[in-house]
Amino acid sequence: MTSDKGFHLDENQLITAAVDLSDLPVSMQEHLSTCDRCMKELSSLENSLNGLGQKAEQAAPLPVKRIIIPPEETGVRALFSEYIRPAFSLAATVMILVFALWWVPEPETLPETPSDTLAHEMIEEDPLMAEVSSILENAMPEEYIDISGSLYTGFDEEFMQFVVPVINDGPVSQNSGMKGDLSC
Amino acid sequence: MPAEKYKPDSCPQVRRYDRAGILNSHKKSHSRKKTDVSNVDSLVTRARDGNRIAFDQLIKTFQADIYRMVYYRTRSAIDAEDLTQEIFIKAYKNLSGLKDESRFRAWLFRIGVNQVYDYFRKKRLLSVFRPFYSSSSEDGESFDTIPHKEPDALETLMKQEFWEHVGTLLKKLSHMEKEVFLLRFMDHLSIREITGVLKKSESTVKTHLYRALKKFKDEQSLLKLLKEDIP
Repeated sequence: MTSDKGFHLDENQLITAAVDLSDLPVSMQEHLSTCDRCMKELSSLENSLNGLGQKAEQAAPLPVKRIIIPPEETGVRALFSEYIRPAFSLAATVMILVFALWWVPEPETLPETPSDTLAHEMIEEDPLMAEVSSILENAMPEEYIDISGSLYTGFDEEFMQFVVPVINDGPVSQNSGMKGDLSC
Repeated sequence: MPAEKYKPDSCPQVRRYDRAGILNSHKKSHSRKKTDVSNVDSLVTRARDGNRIAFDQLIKTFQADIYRMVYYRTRSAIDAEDLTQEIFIKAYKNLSGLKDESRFRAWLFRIGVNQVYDYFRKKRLLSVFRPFYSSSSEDGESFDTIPHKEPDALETLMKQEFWEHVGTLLKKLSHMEKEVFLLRFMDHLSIREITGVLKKSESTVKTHLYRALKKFKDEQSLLKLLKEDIP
């Protein structure tokens, strides 16, 4: 059965043969069936793989525990585990959610943010600020304002002219500034 | 036909080919209790009809396989026990959803693989809350087979050395390569079964397997260790 036709299976072809012999071209398969050298190489690889499987089996511990399949639930128990229990779980979850939403604290008790505090203080300070601006406009107390007459604003221009006539500072003579004109 | 003629003398055991034409069994798998396929099918049918005894039989048949599959990934015997229990409970509850009895094994492994993913997801989530929580077992660095607990310390050390080598190899594989490699060569699933477990096409599975094997061939220390044991 020894034949050496000058070519042998290379490493890739040997691996292909180890994976699936039928994946090799027919000519290679024929060669493999007659070539001792290629056959030896292939069986060496396969023996290593077989050895790996064997050794792994030997090196693995044996199962100790007996597999126990829990008894099948029938009747009410099956109904409970299949429908009632999930329904209860769902209901409980919904209740917890509703309760959590309902139990949200009142807005007053909520801690204020810095911007809220500022707005609140500004509202409180409004009357004070109004007082400050009125003082800035007129710092005189009310009694003195009355005496000073700053409240009487109804006098017209004619009346004021009558009370305090305008003093004419201009030249009396038409020849003012001319030669012979006498100033007072 | 060449594929039929191919019977290397170094492996005298019976060699079977699956539908894809590849070697379906490994030497060790022959020593394991082989499950009669038709028997499994009938057990699945009866279990689906509510027969608890039939399902107990299925547990007996597949418990060791599933346990090992989980152990290879978690490297924790305690977690493997718990996860195996959960996998079978899940399988029992969802058995009515299995249409094809002949695909029970792949279906069971699919549940198992998903359960292991969930386990690692939960572990990662826990590690977020517990920064000092040790999660090194995922990387295959820790073992719960502590030497002094076992009678033969040398054997335990050898096992530990083996898992360390396997861990080194698995670290070099991508997630998909690792999964395909483990399912094929350690869980002894056929390519067809792997396509069912991972919901990937046959060509995708083969591509990942091919890449994983290339990396396996480069792992000289593991190959050397395996050759030492092979007579």
